[in-house]
Amino acid sequence: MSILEVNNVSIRYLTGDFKEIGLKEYVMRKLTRNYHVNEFWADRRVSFTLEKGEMLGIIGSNGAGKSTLLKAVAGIMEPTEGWVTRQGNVAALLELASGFDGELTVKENAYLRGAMLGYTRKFMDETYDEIIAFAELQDFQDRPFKQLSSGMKSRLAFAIASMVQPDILILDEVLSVGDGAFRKKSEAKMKEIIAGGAATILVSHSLGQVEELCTKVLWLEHGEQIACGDTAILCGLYQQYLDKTITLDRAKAIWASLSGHYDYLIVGSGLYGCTFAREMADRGKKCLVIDERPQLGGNVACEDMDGVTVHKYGAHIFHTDSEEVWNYVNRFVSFVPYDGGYGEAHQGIPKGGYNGLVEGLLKGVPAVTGVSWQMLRSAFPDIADRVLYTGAIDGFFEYSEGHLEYDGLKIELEELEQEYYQEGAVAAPKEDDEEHTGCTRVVEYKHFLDEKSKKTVVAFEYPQEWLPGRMMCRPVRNEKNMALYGKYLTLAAERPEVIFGGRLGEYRYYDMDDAIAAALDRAAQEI
Amino acid sequence: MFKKLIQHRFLFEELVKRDFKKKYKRTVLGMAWSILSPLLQLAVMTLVFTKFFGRNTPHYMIYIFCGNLVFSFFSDATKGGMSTIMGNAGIFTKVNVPKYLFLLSRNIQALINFCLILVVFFIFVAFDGLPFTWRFLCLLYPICCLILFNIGVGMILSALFVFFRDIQYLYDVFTMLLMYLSAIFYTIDRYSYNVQCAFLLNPMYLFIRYFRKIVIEATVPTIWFHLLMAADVVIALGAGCFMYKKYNTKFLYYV
Repeated sequence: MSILEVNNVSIRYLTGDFKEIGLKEYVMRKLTRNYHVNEFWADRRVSFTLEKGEMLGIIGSNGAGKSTLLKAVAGIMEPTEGWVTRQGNVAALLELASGFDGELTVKENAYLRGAMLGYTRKFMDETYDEIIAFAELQDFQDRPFKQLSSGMKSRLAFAIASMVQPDILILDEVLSVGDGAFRKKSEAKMKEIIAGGAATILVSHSLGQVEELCTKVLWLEHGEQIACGDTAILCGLYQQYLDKTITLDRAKAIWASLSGHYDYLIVGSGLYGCTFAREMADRGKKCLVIDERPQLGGNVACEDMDGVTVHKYGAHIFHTDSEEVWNYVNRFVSFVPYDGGYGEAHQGIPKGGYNGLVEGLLKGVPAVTGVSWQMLRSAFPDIADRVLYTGAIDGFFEYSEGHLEYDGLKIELEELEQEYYQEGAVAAPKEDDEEHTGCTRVVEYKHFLDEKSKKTVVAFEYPQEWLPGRMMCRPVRNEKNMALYGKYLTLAAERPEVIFGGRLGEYRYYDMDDAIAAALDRAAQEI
Repeated sequence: MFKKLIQHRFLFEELVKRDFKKKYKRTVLGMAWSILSPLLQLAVMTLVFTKFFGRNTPHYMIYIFCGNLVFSFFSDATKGGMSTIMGNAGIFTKVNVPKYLFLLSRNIQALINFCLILVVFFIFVAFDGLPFTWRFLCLLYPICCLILFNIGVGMILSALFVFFRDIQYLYDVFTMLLMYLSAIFYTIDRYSYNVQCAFLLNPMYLFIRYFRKIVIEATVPTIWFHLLMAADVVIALGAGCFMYKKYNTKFLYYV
């Protein structure tokens, strides 16, 4: 049985009722027919369980209902609906610095606080010196409490509270007490208590602290439980929500998608992954696409900058000799012809950029950005029967055999306050350009789709030595790397449920059309 | 309740200490005021009223003292008790402790005060030449009743105070009225029988009358008198407990 079980807890506040506004106001409002009692749900149907040694982080904006929930857990408040069961004693460290008596001395306050926390007199007698030493208040013991600085008050509060040895420990913003030196000391002390095997609940506005300490996370917003589960994924989603890159509804939808079960999990939303997802979805399979980048599309992802469609990871010109592939992509998006020299039957750039193609391919398929395979694997190990992994194969195995190498490329985007920079879309750098030495290719994006804008966006491309973590372009298929790839293939053979596909998964270069053709093949084999 | 009281014994002791220390903080005479202030009150009353009522009342000073003794205990305990929930909001909104602890602690303080004055009272009684008899032991009964009665009224007031702050002003007026109705410095002999009976409806009068009967008249009141007092206690304590039980979880929302 769980040490703490919170089941469907709702807590309601009434505002503006008779008892709150007083008799005069009540009569006044009654007379003017302006009397309303508003109810306000601080928490709505919150559920979670906590085991020994676990640490739950509660995150959410101000007014999310965190403190109210903690009060219900601590037994200070009765839930309006639902119930809380606790196996063992609870110590709640809430709003530490308040609740002291300014008239009493430091020592008297220390004893009173100890008594409030349920200590015995014997225990206080034994630990009092330790408490005062920890709070560094030896010289202030007999001073009236109101003469202390607020930092000192918090220090004393923390020092007393941290003597607890509870089964369930509730910490509300208590790890951010005092100055830098004391904060370190208090964090160490807190970790010691947690290591002692208590089940802990932590409310903190420091997301880093939550990510570092907590084994799971409960996300509340306006009293509503958005999600409860894996720390890394939820902190990631919450951060995106704070950055306003996703809405709350989107975050909920994402969490719902991640909590489902799928036939195929597709890691990476490049053209290979998206095509595979489309094909499997069309064959009635349930697919989920995830991408660790903040947007979908892998290296073909585009972004609108000042009315110009910019290819974020280098210029992509679609060219193919295959009628099958050309017809396939034209199902989703139409192309603006490109009159460059590839000498192939069809050449062009999708109208509005590649995002339209990606969206078309992923229509009806749930896709989540900002989530990596590593995060998902630990949080939802059973999310799908099969996995298509289009990330780097060495990364899948955590580089156990070493790093595969790629050609490097650095792209510097510049927004220029002029209508045009050069005549064509792709050109060699200008001869008199000394600012961009070493640049091998210059791309002015607006030419691709003949977009009109007062500004222009230009990409300067530089060859660059590749290092782990940098953008991966062409695999360097030399003898050394191929031998290493061979080792990874052997490892991959032990994971029959995982398909390694695409440029990084198969460690081979694919043009866009090749990637699509390969994905179509792969999908056909799966059925 | 008693189990909980034992469980929270340390807190209870600390609360009593706190209430006590706070009361005499930064006064020159400190605890001496507990005795001095009722004595001064007694002196004033004796001085003022002896002229009007003292001539026909035997042992008039003791007569007043009985009234003052009982009434000041009552008003000290209940007025102080009224703010115990509000005043300790900082504590019970953070820790799960029974809320009656605060009221009990405040009542203990009032009781200690009362006991101090009681000692002085007995000294006065001795000086006045009144005999100490075995009947004095009966005083334990009204004292116990009064303690419980004070707790009951304190519970009602402290609960009400959370919801209606106005009560503090109303209660001031009420206690003043009650004081005049409790025959502290006058006798009720000259009223008609019906009016005299009406006085028995006032619990404070009962307590005061009990003291006077024992100390001045050296008689033990009837069994009915005892039962009437017990009924008052049951009503007050019952109502108080009911309110605490009912609103126990609601206080939090209004403090």
